[in-house]
Amino acid sequence: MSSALAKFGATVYMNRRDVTPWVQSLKIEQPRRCLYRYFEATFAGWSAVEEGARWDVFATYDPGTTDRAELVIRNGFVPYDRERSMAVARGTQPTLTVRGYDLTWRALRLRPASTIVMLPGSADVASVEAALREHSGPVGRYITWAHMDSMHAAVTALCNRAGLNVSTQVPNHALAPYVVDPAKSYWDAALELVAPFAPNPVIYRRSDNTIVIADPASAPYQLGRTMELPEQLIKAARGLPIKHRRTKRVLVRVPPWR
Amino acid sequence: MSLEPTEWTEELFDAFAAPDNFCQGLQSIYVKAGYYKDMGTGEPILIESTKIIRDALGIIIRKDIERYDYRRAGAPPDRYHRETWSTCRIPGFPTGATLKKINEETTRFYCFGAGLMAGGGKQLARLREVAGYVCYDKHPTDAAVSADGLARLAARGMNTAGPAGLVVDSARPLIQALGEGTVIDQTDAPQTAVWLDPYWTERDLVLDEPDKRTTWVVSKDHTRDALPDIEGPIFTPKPGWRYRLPVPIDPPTLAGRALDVTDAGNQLTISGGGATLHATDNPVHIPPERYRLERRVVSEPSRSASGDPLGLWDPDPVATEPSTLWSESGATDYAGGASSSTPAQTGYSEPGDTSEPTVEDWTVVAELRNETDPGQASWVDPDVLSSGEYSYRARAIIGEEESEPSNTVTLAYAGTSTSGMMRVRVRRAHDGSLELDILAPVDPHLPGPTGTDDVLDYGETVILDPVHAAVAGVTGAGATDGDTVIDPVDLGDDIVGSGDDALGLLDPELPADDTETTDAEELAEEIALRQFARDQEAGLEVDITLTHPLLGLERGQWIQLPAIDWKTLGNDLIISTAIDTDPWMIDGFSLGLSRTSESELSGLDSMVLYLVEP
Repeated sequence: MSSALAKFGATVYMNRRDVTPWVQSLKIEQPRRCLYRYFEATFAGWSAVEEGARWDVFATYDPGTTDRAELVIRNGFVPYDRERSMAVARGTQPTLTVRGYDLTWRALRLRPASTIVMLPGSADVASVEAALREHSGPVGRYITWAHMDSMHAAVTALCNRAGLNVSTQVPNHALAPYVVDPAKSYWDAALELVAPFAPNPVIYRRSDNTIVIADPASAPYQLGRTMELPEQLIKAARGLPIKHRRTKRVLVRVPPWR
Repeated sequence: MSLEPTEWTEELFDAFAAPDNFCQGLQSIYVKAGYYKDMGTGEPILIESTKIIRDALGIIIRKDIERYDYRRAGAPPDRYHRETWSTCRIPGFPTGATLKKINEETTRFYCFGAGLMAGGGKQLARLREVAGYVCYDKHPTDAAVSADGLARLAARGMNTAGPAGLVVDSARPLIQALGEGTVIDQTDAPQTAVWLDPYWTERDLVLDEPDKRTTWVVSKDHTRDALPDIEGPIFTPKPGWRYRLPVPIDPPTLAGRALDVTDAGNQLTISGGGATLHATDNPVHIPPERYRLERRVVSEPSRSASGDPLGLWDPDPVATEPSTLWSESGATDYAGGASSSTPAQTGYSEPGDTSEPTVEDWTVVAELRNETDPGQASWVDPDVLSSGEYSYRARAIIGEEESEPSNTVTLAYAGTSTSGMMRVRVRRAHDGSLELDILAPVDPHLPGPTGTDDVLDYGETVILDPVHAAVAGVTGAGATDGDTVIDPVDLGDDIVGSGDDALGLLDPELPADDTETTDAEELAEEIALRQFARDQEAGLEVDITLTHPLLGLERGQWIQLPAIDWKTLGNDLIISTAIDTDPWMIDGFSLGLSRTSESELSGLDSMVLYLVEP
């Protein structure tokens, strides 16, 4: 379908080289309940996609210039198992489809290289021993993060290590020494910390790579300004009901004081 | 005249492991049972059963055939009979190991007392007789023992010089000897067996007295020349009679007041009542055993309005009447006139009955035990709503008699509604760990009765195990711009190195004032409030397809669709954005482009916004 706004366009960069002339079609999507975006580009007759390339996708309302271009996908990344797919039909050019994810996709899956021992105070031997004593499971090689004295500090440190800015809008509480399992990603470890206060965390993603974990007990608020969509822009609407979960009882088990 | 089986069950248990070397092992256990199914009660009564145990070669080790004789269903049995068969060698018989009956038991039951003719008498006397092979050892003689054996017997101090014959004292039933393994499986063994009928008798002697039954159990072992064993007397008291109280019961006095403390209710105090016996000069007062408290709701605010002070619940779409989705206005009736409206039921009365339905609105809310002599009981009714008005009355109960209702007390409750509150309990385990147990407030939108304990069996239980979090306390608000400000909860000064000191701070065993909550309870409320909070995820997911590309979208941005007046039906939810100006939140988007010219990637394929309710 031809757009009413003919000047809208996109530019695709691979390793900072403009490869837009080879792109036949492009799709950019942020799926539901997901924090990452991905792009799907179909190339025509072109097979020079480099391994481990960095992808950047810009979009603009004025393709003649690059002035008002918006960075839609930053530091795009094609996972190894979804590298490329080919489609060849008789009498046509072969096409190559590449699906790449933005930086957040990788950040949410980044795992620590070794066990992390979080300590509220300084990393003295007694505190490390106290943390390891309470941990059930293998520890192996570990590093210590000192002065992780509150939940907000730990969540911020975990997310920063993964490359995400985070704004934790739930109540804070003090932490005891504990051990972060390296089998979990940084993001999963952070989510587990806020779990008692955020049963279904309302998570916003800002375009400046900040993730906001909102408090379910407070009124919902928005990011930026409220958009108003006039009727002329809307082609179709489709609704799907969601079931609500009801919680009857909550049991919190606080381990013995350490 | 006895009952015969009408239903049979057969079971075969054969999943046994192979036997070890030199062991007999089991191949199967087969049980066949016949039941008489009473047509009145439908209860199966065991009549016959056969149990067969086979060894690894398929030879029957033991077979038990049981039978109960009943004169009529529901009554105790008249007779019990059991035969025991076994493939074994019987000492003194030259036939080798063949299947023979080795034991036979017969018990006759004698029913007496009330209900004998009705067949319901439970008191039984019995005569039990057991017949069967009894095994004897033979006295060893010099001729029967080899020279070596003689020497060994002499070494054990045993005498072989006696007369040949049975050792009378060695008599034991063959079934017992087989179980003990004292049967020597050789033809020339100095053992023999005889069939004695009976070798054991057991009978009950029962003396029926007005207040009790006295029983002696007399048993006689016929293989021994001794007096019978007498066990007893055994006393069985009879249940006493319940006499109906011949005097009326006075109603109690009821007093009450509405507590104005949060999380309380209407306090009611019942006193007095009971019966007075004037048979003698000094009247005897019998206090009531129980008080029954009844309540009537005079006026009560709508539970949907004030029963949800925290605003936690959405209206249940099932509980509310669905709106009319469509109406057929263009159709006509058979005569060509305008069609009648959709029929709707407005009442449940018969046609022409204009009387209002009678409401029996006194409901029993509590039954209290009385422990004192003049009679005193107190209770707080927690299931009341603020600004509701309730009437109470009480009755005194002795046995199965109850008094007329007492005076009526009408109370107006002004405190906070309790059914909208969370119930917090803090338990401490032996190892020092805490368990915070929070029950959700009663959801006013849920159908079904809400009892006095306010526990609805609806919803899920969330178990949080913040092992690593080791919650020390909620120490501050998360938001910097004042969106979320929560009172700090100090559970301890410092978690590191605090040791046992913090235990005292958290000890829930300390007597808590009514107006104060412990720190642990506050922590539990902070967590539970968020767990109970209305699910922030949307009740409706909407995909909006646009004709215009949008850039700069963020998840969490709000969007308003002020001009759309389409109606979309999803189950019983309706999107009608012309009336509903509430904003939607962007959950995601999808943007598709394709090449239109040689140089530019600028054709818009699709632009879809994924929206949810914020």
